[in-house]
Amino acid sequence: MKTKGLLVLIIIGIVLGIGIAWFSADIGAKKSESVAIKTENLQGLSDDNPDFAVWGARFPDYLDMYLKMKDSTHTATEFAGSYPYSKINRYPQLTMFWDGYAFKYDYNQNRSHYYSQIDQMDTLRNNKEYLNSHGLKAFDGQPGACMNCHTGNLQNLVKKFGWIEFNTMKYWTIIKMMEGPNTVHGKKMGSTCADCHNPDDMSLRVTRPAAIKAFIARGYESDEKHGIKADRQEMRSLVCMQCHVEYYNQPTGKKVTVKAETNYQEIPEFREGNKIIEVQANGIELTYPWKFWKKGEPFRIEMFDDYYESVRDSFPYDFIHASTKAPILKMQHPEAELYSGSVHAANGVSCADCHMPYTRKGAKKVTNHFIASPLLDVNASCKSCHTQNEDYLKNQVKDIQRMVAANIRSAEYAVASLIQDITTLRSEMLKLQEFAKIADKKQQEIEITKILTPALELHRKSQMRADFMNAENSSGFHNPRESNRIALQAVKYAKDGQNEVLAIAMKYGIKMQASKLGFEDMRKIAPKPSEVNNKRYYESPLQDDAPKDLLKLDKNLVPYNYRVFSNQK
Amino acid sequence: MGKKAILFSLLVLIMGALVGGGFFIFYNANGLSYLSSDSAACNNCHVMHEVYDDYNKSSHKAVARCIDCHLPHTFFRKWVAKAESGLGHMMVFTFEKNLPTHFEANEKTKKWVQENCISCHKDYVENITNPTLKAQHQDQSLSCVSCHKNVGHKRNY
Repeated sequence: MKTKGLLVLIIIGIVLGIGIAWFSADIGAKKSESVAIKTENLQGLSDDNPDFAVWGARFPDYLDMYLKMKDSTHTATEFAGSYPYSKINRYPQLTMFWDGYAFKYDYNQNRSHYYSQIDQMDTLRNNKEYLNSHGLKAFDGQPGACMNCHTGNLQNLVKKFGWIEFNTMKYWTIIKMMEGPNTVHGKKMGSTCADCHNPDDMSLRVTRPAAIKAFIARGYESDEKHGIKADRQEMRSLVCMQCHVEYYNQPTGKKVTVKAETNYQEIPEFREGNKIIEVQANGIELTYPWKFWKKGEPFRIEMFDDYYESVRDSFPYDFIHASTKAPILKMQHPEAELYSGSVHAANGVSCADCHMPYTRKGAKKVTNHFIASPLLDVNASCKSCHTQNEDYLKNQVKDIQRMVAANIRSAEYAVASLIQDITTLRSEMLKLQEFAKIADKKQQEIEITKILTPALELHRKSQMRADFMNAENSSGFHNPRESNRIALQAVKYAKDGQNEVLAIAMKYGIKMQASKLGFEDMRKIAPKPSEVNNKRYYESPLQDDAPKDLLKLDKNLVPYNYRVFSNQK
Repeated sequence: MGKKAILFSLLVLIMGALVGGGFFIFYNANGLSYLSSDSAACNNCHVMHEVYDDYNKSSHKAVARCIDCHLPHTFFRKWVAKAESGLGHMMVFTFEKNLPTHFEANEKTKKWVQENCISCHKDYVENITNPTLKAQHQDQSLSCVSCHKNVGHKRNY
């Protein structure tokens, strides 16, 4: 054999050898991966330092999944996802809903959990100067209560300031008084490992004081280590439900001493001689309105009517509607409530089963900590239980969401029509001799409000329902039956309200017709992107227009264009 | 010793390492078990854990092994199918980083499963299958597992 031939054989042999060694290593790695995750080596983890970089160092796979949320800001679904476009541009009727309230000026589709604090720092709703100069002169800054579900630093803040004091203090004052850098590992830290996991053994726990209190009031037992007692499968929902709920700030009726600034500013640092002083303030406490929702029972929307009636003396409204003067309740992300009565809930499916499904990581089975819409991975989310193919399952979800969306939009248009009619009636009544002669403008307003009260109450009730469905983040999928029932009630109450308006108008000899606003009317009042110092406020990759294809979808929902939806699944 | 002799010895050494390494891999990856019909062999691959657990609780556990449903029954077809699937599975499991969480049967497997349902249950199902073999029923829209979904394992269709 020639030397050259031998050399070639040797080289081939070496390459094959490397291949064998690599393959062997791969087999070894997969074998070790498939062994259950170890929860030893937890030393050094404590609530004192909730930084996900520290906790994640023990669980690198989970940190990787969590950090994926940082770059996932372009995953829009038809009705949610984490693509941060302006929701008031997509649904301009909401600017009518929130006339006189900060939400009218800025409301975006939220990004993922990684951004929970960053998004809250960035929104113009948290910018006193902007709101004061855009029609909300009396706005004096968001309270610290807003941080309850947006910061991984909550436990330490409550320890530092006290529970009621923390809620009552101003948002940016707390930020300024927080130690640590102004980064996602400091003041900007959003949701993190410690919010749901116990540092001793990584078991699931509920950490939000308002949630623990509310769960106990519903009939759960308290637990020192886990917040409340529940088995693991239930915990896989309860940890989510500590934040994804409707809430409000209940005045405690007592003064508390809190830290305040001599010159309140929307920035994370002190400057221009700004000093911290102690002031007396009316205490508020973050509260979940769950008194009528008992453990093990499905939530019903009427429970909110009953609850907010029961506290009306101390908490009459979230805001007074600027044009109708109705006492309005603002809803926010009531996922826990809507889901509770669903078919999935009845079958013991937890939030994590769909939003954090078990997936493969090499040979390992892991709970996905890239928390997202199940539509992004129907295979992992739905097919654990459902044996149909992925396209079929995806179409089922889309169909349900579109059907419910059609009803939610109908509800919103009906409430918007009612708002327009009450506003028209108010201005017509002002022209009547009977009211025009009242010199005191305030008194004049009170007199008209008194007469309009039946219509205003229907405005409050119908808007609460439409708002509930819009703020809930599943376009009805979390419980289609209850969603449709709530939307139908919103339409009914809004129409009842319009009837009241017409009856009152007739009584005063005012000629009016009930308005019927729809998609096209709303496009005419769609707000332009917010500007600060003549510059678009949100910069890329943040969007501040609603995506065109989503608007096209909405256009076909009411009235429902079956021709479009039947060929476009 | 000449240059050629040195190279030749080196080649012998490398060949030895290759054969040794090959045998070690075969042993480490439970290679022999793939020549058996034991259901546990299918579970060598960790992605089969859930299905294997399901199977162990299933109604068919006492009477059928994985391959009784999932491979053809005649000698030649069985071994060709085994080699083909084995190689495919090995490649995918080694190189594909984004395996779906839940697998779906491909057309070949669906055909084999249907064939095997009939092969074991022939006495009972003749009355049903005979009509379905007629020309007008050849669209294959229904198979035994369309209705009897959970007999083998609950998940992963």
